[in-house]
Amino acid sequence: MEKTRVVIIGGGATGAGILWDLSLRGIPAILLEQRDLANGATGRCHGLLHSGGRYVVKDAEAAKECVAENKIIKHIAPHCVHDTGGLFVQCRQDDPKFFEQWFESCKQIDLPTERLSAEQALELEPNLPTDILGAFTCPDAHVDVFQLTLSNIESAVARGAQFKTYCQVQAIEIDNGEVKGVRYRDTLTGAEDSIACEIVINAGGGWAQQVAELAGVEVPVRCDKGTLLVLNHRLAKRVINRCRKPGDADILVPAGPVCILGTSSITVPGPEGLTVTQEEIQHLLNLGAELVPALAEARVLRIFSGVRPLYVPPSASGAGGREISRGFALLDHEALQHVRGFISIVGGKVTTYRLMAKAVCDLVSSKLGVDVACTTGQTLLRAAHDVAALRKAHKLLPLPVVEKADKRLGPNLAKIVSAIEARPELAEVVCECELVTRAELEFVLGNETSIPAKTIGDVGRRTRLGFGPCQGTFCGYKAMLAGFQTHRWNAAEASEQFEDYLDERWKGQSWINQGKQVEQLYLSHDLFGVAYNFHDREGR
Amino acid sequence: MESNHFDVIVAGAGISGITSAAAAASRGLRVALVSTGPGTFVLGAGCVEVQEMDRGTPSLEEAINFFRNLTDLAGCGFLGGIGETHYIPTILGSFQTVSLAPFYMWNGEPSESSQVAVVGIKGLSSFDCNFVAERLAYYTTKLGWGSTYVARDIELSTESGTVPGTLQFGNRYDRDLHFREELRDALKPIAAKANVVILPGILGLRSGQSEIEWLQKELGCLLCELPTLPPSIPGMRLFNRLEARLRKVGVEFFTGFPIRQLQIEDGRCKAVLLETPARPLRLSSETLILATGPFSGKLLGAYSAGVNRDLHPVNAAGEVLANNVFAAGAILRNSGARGGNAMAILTGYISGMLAAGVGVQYAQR
Repeated sequence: MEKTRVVIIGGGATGAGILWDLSLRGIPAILLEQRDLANGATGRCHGLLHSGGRYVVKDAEAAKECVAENKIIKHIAPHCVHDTGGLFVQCRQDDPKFFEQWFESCKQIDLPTERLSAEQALELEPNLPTDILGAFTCPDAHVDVFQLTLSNIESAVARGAQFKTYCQVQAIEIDNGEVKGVRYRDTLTGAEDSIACEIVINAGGGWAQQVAELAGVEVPVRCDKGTLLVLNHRLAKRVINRCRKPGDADILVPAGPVCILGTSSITVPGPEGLTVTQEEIQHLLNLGAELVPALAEARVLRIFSGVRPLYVPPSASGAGGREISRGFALLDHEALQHVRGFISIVGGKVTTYRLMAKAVCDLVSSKLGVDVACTTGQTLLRAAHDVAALRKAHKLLPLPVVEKADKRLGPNLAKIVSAIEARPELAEVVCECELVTRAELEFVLGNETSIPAKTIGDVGRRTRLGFGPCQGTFCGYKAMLAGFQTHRWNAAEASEQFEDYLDERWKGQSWINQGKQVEQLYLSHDLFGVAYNFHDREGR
Repeated sequence: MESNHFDVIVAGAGISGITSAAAAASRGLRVALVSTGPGTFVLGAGCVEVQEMDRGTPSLEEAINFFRNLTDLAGCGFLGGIGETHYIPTILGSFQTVSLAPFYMWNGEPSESSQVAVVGIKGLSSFDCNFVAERLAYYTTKLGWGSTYVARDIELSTESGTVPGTLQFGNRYDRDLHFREELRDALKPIAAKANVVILPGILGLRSGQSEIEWLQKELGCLLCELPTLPPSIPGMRLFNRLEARLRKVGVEFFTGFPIRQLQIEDGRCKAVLLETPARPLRLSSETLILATGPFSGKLLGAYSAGVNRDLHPVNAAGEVLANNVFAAGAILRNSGARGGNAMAILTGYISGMLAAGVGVQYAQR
């Protein structure tokens, strides 16, 4: 049985942020995640680094948090942020009183914004409707949520922290009202083990309620489903928001080669088994087209849903999804229910993950008597890249490939470069949409990285492989072979991996009922189902 | 005769379009084949699975015989027949069941005594012989066959500054005798210890039966090619051979241009407008065969309800949309037709015959 001081349950941005914060304070910790890192709400959102504009009118506190964290994340994790800037667009059909209210509210909390005329806005973003009344600027940005989570973990591991993915907590051991440890099961191998610890942190997001039940306490979380559409072009250079009271499909975020439209807000019973209806998709597209008319004709690559784990304070249990604060709540179950050593962190959003982690770690520090202040706001999440390696990379790979690899890999780019120098065939670009080389693929599947990929889906979250128009039809197959060739899987395991991967990729496309992506999906079905008699669309 | 007027325009150069054009041409009609490219040939190898269809389907045997004869004449002969179920390996190490397949794929079926060598090519990253051999061995054991599998890698020269790729190897197999000999020499020691050699599809984009049989004879064992991820070299070879055959019997090709519009007036399709540079090219005909694949229904506007017994597309009320238009191949998927390439051959053949005024009826299953 292992022993540590703190166990964190949940490998989203918040859990990862806690692991990093604790490691900076010198507190030993182990993070357990039931699937892969960033697999829950973290990996299923817009990837919007909020400026605060979204909440400024209704929830000034949440907006202020965003203003501060937006600056901090851009400073500590520049490799994860594409600082696109954002616009709040004044649509002709919306309430002009809200526009002024929005502008005034921004001033009150020092949210930097500028007023643009319709002409100025259209010059910046030609895809906006030509009859807009104007727009406001704001410092919104796109954040690669996978990189952000992984970087927190990687940095923490470099300081001695540990994490285990595909490990589901089965029980929280409590003796005499005091946390003693956790029992967990490796879902890939079936092995069970325990960890002894003093504190357990519940950072389960949508699963926080289930985690809390293991400690015999209740954590009121409302699972609020948000559905998002991935479109195959960047239809805007900046984050486009509709300047009105927050509603459905009023944010479009440019994310690398694609852009993401969302969301809906529908209360669901739990975080698993989410489905999407045709009405919901059409509703999102119709509303989205009011903001960016080109959306009506755009190719939808994929549709996915995540759940916002909204914290419902006992006093607000009647409120609907959009009325509940996007703020977060730190629950010390020692004070609340006399369970010593159990802490829950719920609500919040990716933009404020660091702040949430800080709040948790401040509490943990005081409980453990560790007197070290939080430094995550000043400490860069990743060491600077190796300039010599970058120079060599430019000689070995095309420029766009180097740029992407540098952002994703940072200091690890040196390992890719030396691998290609030794074996030039590793320069092959395996995923042509996200420009992933074979060297990078083998790196994330190998044992040299501190956050190895255990499934083909994990490879996608490490490298973005399979996120483009082919949705893994070609590159997923190559990733399977790479996993076989690097001895991560034997042939039978590799086949099974690929079947699971196809199911997951097909699922996200199956809701789309028209356009080019339907043809792409048929191609994938026909190739792997009919032609190779490998895996049928009905699944197993 | 007007230069742009045809007896039949066939739209689509997949397996149904090719069969349909060949059938119409065999009856002496003037045929135009318009397409954007080689259809689904780039994806597979043209294997035919009859299993999903009723073997007693009217005209099925006639259509399949026609297709076999066509491929024989094209130098890309098929083996098998309607009643057969044959197991052919795939690049994923699974077995695909087929009734007919090109001869260069047919040999992959396991048997009691076969010693099979799966051969990979160094640097050809989309095919892994170890993976394929391990999976084939697994399925063979599971299904109770006696074949054994070994994996071997060979090294082939590449043209300077290029990465090994199936297209490059395929092209060189066609035009470079030295390359063929290099391949033979690399395979020889492996073939000496095997009676079947499986290799990724690289044996030419245009090569015919004799060029491939040459290698088989030199090696003294059976060869089986596996189509790799698209583009599939064996599939493109089949297309190129069939295209050459069709040209020989007078079919005129208009390749590379999508259809902009069908001119339908008074219940007849008068002409097809192609999206050619500068201005659309207008081709007119007595009949039109739409073999444009599963996503082309919108060409006919109201098309939604499938076809009648004469393969005329009908609307939801069962009314014929244009009485000189026939539909063939995967476009019929929308009306629930099943059977992949067998269905494509059947409906391609029937539509070609109907266009020639030969009474054949399509009994929809």
